[in-house]
Amino acid sequence: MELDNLKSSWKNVSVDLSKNEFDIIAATKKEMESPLNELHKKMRKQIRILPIIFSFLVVMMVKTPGLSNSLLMWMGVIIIPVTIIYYYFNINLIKDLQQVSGSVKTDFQRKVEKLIKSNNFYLKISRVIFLILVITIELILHTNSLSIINGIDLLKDTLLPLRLVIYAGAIGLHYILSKYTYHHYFGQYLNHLKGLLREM
Amino acid sequence: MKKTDLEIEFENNLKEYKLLIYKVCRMYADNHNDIQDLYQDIIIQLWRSYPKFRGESKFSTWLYRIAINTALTNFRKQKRSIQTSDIELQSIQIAYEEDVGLKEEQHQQMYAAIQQLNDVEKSIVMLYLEDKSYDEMEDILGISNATLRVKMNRIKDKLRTFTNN
Repeated sequence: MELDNLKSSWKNVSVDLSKNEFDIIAATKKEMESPLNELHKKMRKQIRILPIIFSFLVVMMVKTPGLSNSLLMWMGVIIIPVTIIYYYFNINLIKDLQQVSGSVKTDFQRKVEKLIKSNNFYLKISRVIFLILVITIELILHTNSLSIINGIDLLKDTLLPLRLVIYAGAIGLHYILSKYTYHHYFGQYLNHLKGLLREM
Repeated sequence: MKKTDLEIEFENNLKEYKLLIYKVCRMYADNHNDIQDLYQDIIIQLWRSYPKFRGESKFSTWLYRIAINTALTNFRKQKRSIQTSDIELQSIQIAYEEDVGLKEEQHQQMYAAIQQLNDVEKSIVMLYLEDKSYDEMEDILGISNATLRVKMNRIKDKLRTFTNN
């Protein structure tokens, strides 16, 4: 049997779409069950929790004597806003990915480019932040302002070459973690789109 | 609840294309629940994109683009379908009691063969069955006319092999 023989029956396919379950407006009030939407929901939830944790840390640092000099607290105060910004960008990225424009292939190409660009941007930005952090630590050590942050004197006692190894290790770990994080959030989606483009 | 003007306009525009959306769903989902879920997802995606529809392309072209795009990227459901398809691959029998047409055995066989194609090939077959010209297909899918012709020939060969086995 040839595909052309199916044409006439395909044209005659009919189904009762007047049932309530296919009501258009009712459907538009619901949320889509796509993986992107699930990710969107997850990130929205996390971005709401983070400012609460941040506020809690700041209040603790102000109210509890000695905590304002704690290295861990300072790390939290720096990392949380950066994470909020990261989630904010990702939520915007998801919103953009949920839009459909142009032909199917053009739209997939646009999304793949967007995902790759945003990943590179995130990697570059986080490396810059990391570099600033390293420079700040070294400045604190060189100006002997050790009282600013408790525990930083441990680094002062470490030789410069060893410190550089620590920094390099941290950069390497950050690279692996950010790759993993990005893959965890968008990797599956990106690979799926790339696979579809290969088939086109 | 009172419908907004945009909702009414959207609903009116969509009225005559409900069956078209259903056909897209049928091509990609192989059971009633998946068809229903995909149908709903396509409607939501159409609704989200509707305010940006400015009539630069035909309404049906715009609708096909979004419907196929949603079906192709809706891979969570594909995974679910793959699991059921794997079980049924030996003797695929997809019954759609509610459908009129595609009743005869040969048609069922051909339909089962189409289900074995990859997602992009399915979209090409669907547009072909809808009697779309290669230019229209190119407009919807973004695949060049020449590539589409080559792909269509390959698909026809594949389907012949599937139905003969």
